Amino acid sequence: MIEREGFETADAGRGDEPLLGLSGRARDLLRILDDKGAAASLYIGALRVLADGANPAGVRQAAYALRELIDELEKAAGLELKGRQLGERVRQLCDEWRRTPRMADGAISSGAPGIATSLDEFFDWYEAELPTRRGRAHMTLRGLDPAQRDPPPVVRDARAKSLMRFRDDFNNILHGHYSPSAAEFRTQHIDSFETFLLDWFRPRTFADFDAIDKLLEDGPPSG
Amino acid sequence: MGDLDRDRALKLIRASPANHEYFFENLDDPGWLEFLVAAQFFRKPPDPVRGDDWIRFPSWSESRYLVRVAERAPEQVAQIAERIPPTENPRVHEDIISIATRLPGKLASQLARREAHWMDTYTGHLMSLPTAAGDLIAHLGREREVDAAFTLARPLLAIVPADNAATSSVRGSATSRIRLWNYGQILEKAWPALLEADHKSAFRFLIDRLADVVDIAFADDNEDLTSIWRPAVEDDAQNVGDSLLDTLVDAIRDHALDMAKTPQGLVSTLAVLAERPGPLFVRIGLHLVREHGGADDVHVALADRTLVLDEAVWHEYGELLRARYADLTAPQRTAILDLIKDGPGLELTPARAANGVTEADLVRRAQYWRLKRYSLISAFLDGTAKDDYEGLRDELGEPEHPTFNSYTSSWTGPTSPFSSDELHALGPRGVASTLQQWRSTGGSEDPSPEGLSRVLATVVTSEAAGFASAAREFAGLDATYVRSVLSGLATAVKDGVTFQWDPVLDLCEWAVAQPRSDDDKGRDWDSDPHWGWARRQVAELLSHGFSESSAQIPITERVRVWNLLDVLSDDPDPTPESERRLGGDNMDPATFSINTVRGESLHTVVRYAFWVERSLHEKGRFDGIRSIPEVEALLDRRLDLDIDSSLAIRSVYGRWFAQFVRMDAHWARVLAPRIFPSSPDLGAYFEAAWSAYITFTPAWNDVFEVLRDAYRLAIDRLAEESGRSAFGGDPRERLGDHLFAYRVIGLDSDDLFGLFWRTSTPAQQEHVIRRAGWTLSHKSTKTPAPDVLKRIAQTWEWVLEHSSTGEREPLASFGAWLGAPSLDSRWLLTQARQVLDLGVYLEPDFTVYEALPRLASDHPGEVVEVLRLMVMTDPEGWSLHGSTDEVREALSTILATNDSDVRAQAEALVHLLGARGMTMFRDLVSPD
Repeated sequence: MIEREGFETADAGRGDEPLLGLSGRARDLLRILDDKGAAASLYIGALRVLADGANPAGVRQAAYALRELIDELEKAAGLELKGRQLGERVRQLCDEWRRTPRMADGAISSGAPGIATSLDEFFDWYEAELPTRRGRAHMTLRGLDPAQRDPPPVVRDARAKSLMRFRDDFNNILHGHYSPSAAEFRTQHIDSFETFLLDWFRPRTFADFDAIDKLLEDGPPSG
Repeated sequence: MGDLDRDRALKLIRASPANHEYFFENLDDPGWLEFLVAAQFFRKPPDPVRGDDWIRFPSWSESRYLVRVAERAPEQVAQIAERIPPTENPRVHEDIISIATRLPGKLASQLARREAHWMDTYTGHLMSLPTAAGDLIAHLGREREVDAAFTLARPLLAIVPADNAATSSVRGSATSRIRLWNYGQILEKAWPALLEADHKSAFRFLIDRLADVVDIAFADDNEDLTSIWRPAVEDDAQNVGDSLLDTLVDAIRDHALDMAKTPQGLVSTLAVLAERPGPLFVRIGLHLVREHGGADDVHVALADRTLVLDEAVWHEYGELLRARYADLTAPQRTAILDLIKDGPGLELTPARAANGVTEADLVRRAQYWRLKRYSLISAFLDGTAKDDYEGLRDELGEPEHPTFNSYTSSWTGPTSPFSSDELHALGPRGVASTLQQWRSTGGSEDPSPEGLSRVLATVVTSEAAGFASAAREFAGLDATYVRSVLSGLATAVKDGVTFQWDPVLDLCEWAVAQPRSDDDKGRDWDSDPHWGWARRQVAELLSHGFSESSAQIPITERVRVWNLLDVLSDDPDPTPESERRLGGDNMDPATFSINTVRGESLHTVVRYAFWVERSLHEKGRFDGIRSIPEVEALLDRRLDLDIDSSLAIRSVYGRWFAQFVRMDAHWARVLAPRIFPSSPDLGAYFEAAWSAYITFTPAWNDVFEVLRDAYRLAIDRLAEESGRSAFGGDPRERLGDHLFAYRVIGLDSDDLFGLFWRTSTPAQQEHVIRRAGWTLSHKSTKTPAPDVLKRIAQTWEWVLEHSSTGEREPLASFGAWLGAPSLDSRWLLTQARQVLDLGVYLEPDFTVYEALPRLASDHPGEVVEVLRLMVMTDPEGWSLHGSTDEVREALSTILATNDSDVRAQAEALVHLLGARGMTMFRDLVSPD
């Protein structure tokens, strides 16, 4: 949670490939992400395309990589991405629906209860396997939390909200709804995303406690 | 006002569970309330966390903060508490109740009603809420908010049928939603304040709850049986149970006694009790009259013919009669005596007749009825009443517990007619002569020979020399006493006490010569049923006498003691029938062997052999088993299944086999196939001998050479063996221990350890690894030779390789190896890391934590990583709490190193521990 040192840009042009100099905390983060599926390579990939000043789509590609990084974290937390299964299941349901015999008024024949059973099964699956975005965020945060503690609701919600906001931001950028410059992307998005990840995976608990002590001493903020 | 802006402050507080908890647990300033409410705190209490078969109720730092500041901002906190959304988390409700306890009456009562409403519908566990609720009830009482107090008390102290009412006793069929202890505490601590505020309502509340208990408990009965379940209103040993009925009776009695100290108080309290029908309330009333009633009150109660005849209130009526009859005037006494003289007025009703009751029975009952009452006031009787009493007493005997309709006493074991002091005073010969004369009266609770023998044994031990000298005097006595004398002497020998053996051996010879019968049918448990027990005691005494000490039997007695053993080792016990009945699943053969005459005798024969061997060695004349031919012949004879088919006897051979190898390896090699037969038909004999061998014997090199085939057979039979653990441990685990040792010593050329590993269960493997670790870590273990150390490391690496892809449970016990000083530190840490990398937590964890400070200075990077992985793989999440000193020492060492990367890792670990709630290491990274 405390402020960390900033991002260092690469010195490009000393060889055929642009070199990427990493800040200390970027190296820390890389090490932390190393055991979380492809998260580390997506992270370094994002930094790499962003550092390539000649790449006109660098920001969107970096945003895409970071959105994928969040998906990797979900997978590392044990959440499977079932979006495709959802489409397949809906298609199957659609076929069954169209084959279901009807009466003259269009109502479903009483001799065809199968569709109702299928719908029940679909909704059960949907509820069990496709949690809400917030639910997915909760589960990801809790699943990969090195502290392994159930947070109180205000903390849980605040952290889930942050993770969802990063995903939304990256989505908006990669879909072109919002086009920050590379520098803006670094300072407004990547920096805070790195801080979020470091706070999550490598908490600086007692540094935060020191800050809280100061907060308690000073009294409630006025602003 | 603070420097941080609002958003950054909130972000800091909400960043992690640790931050949130730290902030609220350290916040004690009501000045933050407005800010926190505006930021939507206090609006989301944590829900219960449910697992498959468990539920956890998280505490809520926010509500705990409210408790702390409630007294300083009552209106504000009350308003916040009122708005906390509904939750099923009783910890949150406990906090709300605690908040209410700190608020003025009106505000407290509002929250109390809200909590009572929740409690009306909530059916789950209340955790520690009842204690807080009791405090709130007391607070409301003091604040004169009596209605709110009762509103809360009603659901809290409600009486309900027990879930298992159908199967539980009457006492347990009514229960409460809170634990009995809490119930009692609330009545004891909270009720006085309520009684002071509104004593009638508070008292009546308790009466109503007791009535609820009685209604539920006796709903199916035609009569009130409370006098059975609560024999006495006062505290009495006959009130054997703790139940709601007892708790409420105690509370009502005590509060009633307080209220009835004045005449008006007594009248009003009795009036409240009288509102409820049922003998239990009448009994409480009689108890009050006994304690605080005036003479007239006493007379009114005692002269009440309904009470006189009511057996259900008899105890309290009787105690009133006993305690207060003296206070009555002469005419009042006469009236009572007339009632007693009239008797209970029993009639032979058709129902009684149907139950087989006769007129004579009723007369007898009436006589006993009068006798009990007379006996309570016998000191005041004269004239015809006295004559009546004495006549009845002479005929029926003095009643022992007249005020109890039934009385329970417990038996405390056999008792002795003489104390140890009395026996000491008699001296050994006096004791012998007393034992010849004393006879038990035979009553179930009367002194018995068994009780006497227990005291006698301790006296003999403490005066062994004297009793040994006089041992011949005890010949001719009952087997119980002879056994007892020999037992006392055996204890003395074990303690190194010297005495004359000659007269003792005389007594042994006499005992062994007594007719041997094993018929114990019809025995009364108060004396030895036959001479078998004394014979076994002879064997045990000799066993101790063979041990090398100043108290040992002189070798000159060799022939005499052998003659004794020759007879004893032919004793019929164990019989095949007794082995079937008492052995098998009840007792393993090795344990059974020492509890039989022949088995114990055979053990003694082996000890005899050591005794003789020692003596011959001193003279340079020991030449293997041929030097003790009597033992060789006897052991050979007892191996013949036609002569002795007992498994217990076979276990004796297994138990001592390693000693046979030591004494005479050639002889042992010849015996081995007979003791450990490979034929499947004799599998039980193999198992009996093998289990005893492997359980009680360490791994000896020379024995392995003799028993190599038996080891292989034991591995083959791993899955078949019964798995019954002998006293010394599981034979299959011990097999693994032996094979591990032989492998690392370099004897296991056939890879029997590998065969064992592939055949054994993970639990057995886990034991072997842990045991090896303990052995290597033990202070008494010498540093193994370099080649052994190398094979130890290679064996572990082999285990790791073979287990890392399959069952990983055995790897966890590598934790025990971390304490081994002889193993290379870096190698230990590397192996530990490999196990932890597989996600396996090292056990026993305290051994790992203890080792880390020792290893930290030379290998700080490895230690911090092992420690981090221990934290990350800890299945409980709190195991480190037992080793905080060791962890602190290791971390301090690491944080003092020059390697900045390692220091950074250590700091990160300290922060992680903090995030997990282990804040005791904060000073390591945030020095003041």
